[in-house]
Order: sequence, then C-alpha cells, then structure tokens
Amino acid sequence: MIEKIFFVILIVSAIMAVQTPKMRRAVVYLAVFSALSAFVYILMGAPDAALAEAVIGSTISTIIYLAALQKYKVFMIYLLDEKQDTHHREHISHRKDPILTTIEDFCTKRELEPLIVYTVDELDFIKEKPGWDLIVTKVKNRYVLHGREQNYHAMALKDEWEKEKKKKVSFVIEKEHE
Amino acid sequence: MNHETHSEILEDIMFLIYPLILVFGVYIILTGPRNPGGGFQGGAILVAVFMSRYLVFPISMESLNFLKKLDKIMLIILIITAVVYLFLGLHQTSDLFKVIYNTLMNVLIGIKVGSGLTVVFYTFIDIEGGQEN
Repeated sequence: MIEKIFFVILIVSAIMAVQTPKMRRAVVYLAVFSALSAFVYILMGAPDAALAEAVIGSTISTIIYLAALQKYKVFMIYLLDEKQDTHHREHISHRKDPILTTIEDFCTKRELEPLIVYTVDELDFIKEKPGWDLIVTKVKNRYVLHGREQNYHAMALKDEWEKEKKKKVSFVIEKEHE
Repeated sequence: MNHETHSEILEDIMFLIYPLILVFGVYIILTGPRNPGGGFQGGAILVAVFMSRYLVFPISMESLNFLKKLDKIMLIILIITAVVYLFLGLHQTSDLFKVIYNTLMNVLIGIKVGSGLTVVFYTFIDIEGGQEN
C-alpha cells in the first residue's frame, strides 16, 4: 500500500519537474524525485541500488545541473530602434543608450556576457526567434524591456529595477503558452 | 560566482560536515562486502565532498593532474589484482583470502571512482565554450 502512495508521489514530482517554468526549480524537483525513488527502492528490498540512487541522483547530478546553469552565461539583448537608418551603420557605434550601461553593469555583476544586437526588425519577429534574453524598445524617451518568465536573469533584472523604481523604464514579462 | 554570493553560513556548515561525509564514505567502502554499499557508492559519496567544496569555494582544483594519474594507476592495479587472484588460485585456498580480496577490490574501486568522477566534474567546470581555459 505504502509503495503505491510513493509511486503516485513519484509521478507527481516528475510531472512537476517537467512543467515548472524555471530551470532551478526543475533541478530541485528532480532531486526530490531521486530521493523518493531511492526510498521506493528500499521498500522493494534493494538497498544497494537505493544508496547509489540517493548519492548520484540527488547529490552529484544536482550539483552538475546547478554548475551547468551557472555556466549559462551569454545574455542576448536586442535593441530595437525603429528610427534607425539601416543604410548608415557608422554612427551606431558612436552613441550608446544610457540604459545599456545599466544593463551591462548588471551583467558584469552576475558574470554574464552581454551580447547586444542593434536591429530594426519588428518586435514580434524577434520574439519568435529562439535565444533572446531581453528586448529593449524605445518609445518616446521611455524604455520598454521585454523578458521571459523562464529566464531567471531577466527576472532578477526586473526585480532590481523595481527596487530602484526608475520611472522611465517599464517591464513586460512574456509567459510561454506551449 | 563573485564574492558577494559567498556565504559564511554555508562555509561553516561545510566545515562541520566534511569529516562526517568523509567518514561515512570510507565506512560504506569498507563494509561493502557484507552490507549494502560498496566501492562505487562509497566513491560517489567521496566525490560529493569535492563537489560541494566547489559550491562553497568556486575555484578549480590544483591537484587535478595527480587525480588523473591516480585514476589510471588504479585501473591498472585493479586489473593486476584480479588477474593475480585468479591465476594464482587464491580463491580456492581459504576464506581469509576471499575477505581480503573483496575488501581490497572495494577500496580500489572506491579510489578509482572518487578520482575519476572528480576529474570529470572539474574538467566540466574548467571547459568554457568548447575551449579549455
């Protein structure tokens, strides 16, 4: 009977690991899954396998996943400027938006490597591309930053901005519907 | 990781439980032949010590080359021990040899797994963007 209860909890934790939007939470759910399955192994009379599962599943692979998440470093920023003339690219490097300095400071603090792309494409076109972390658009001296909910760096940037309460900047968080 | 995230609480707790995890790993290795556990599980516990050291002090390890050599040497010693044990016919002589052989193999496997997985983990940390630092 108790085995069946733990089987159900195992399946629930596995589904939660797949369904959660944040990577770090998924890692924690996987560790819970491993610990529970180690317990189920003990109930089914395999203490040897249970020890290996507990050590490897919930310790070593968790630490490796966390280290891998820390190495996830390149921060892709798209800067949209619709007034920009695409035929004269020389002057792009001369001026720099003040918001970019703030974002770059944030990136150096978290040891990220900012990769800034100046573009004149439509916002929706860029959003469909994979691999963006932050989109900055400029509407009449007001900046709008677009971030995704899964991206914990973007969420941290949003939190930092809300703490400082800058009025010129607003944040839009995309939720993925898949 | 920068120094702001370096936590003193984590450091102190790690300092306290390091020796306990080490002793537990050695215990699992040595009681392997009789109880659940054995060389592989004990070695993996020892690796967990080195890995959690990375979470507290995120620096790479200096003695990695030594561990690489140890890994290879242990593989050779493992094969030699098994071959010697079988071809000299020690398994037919007495139970004492069996106990000694089992414990020795467990210790060797524990050291090999410990050094091997540590090398894998620290190599994984040092490599960045497909190139070694």
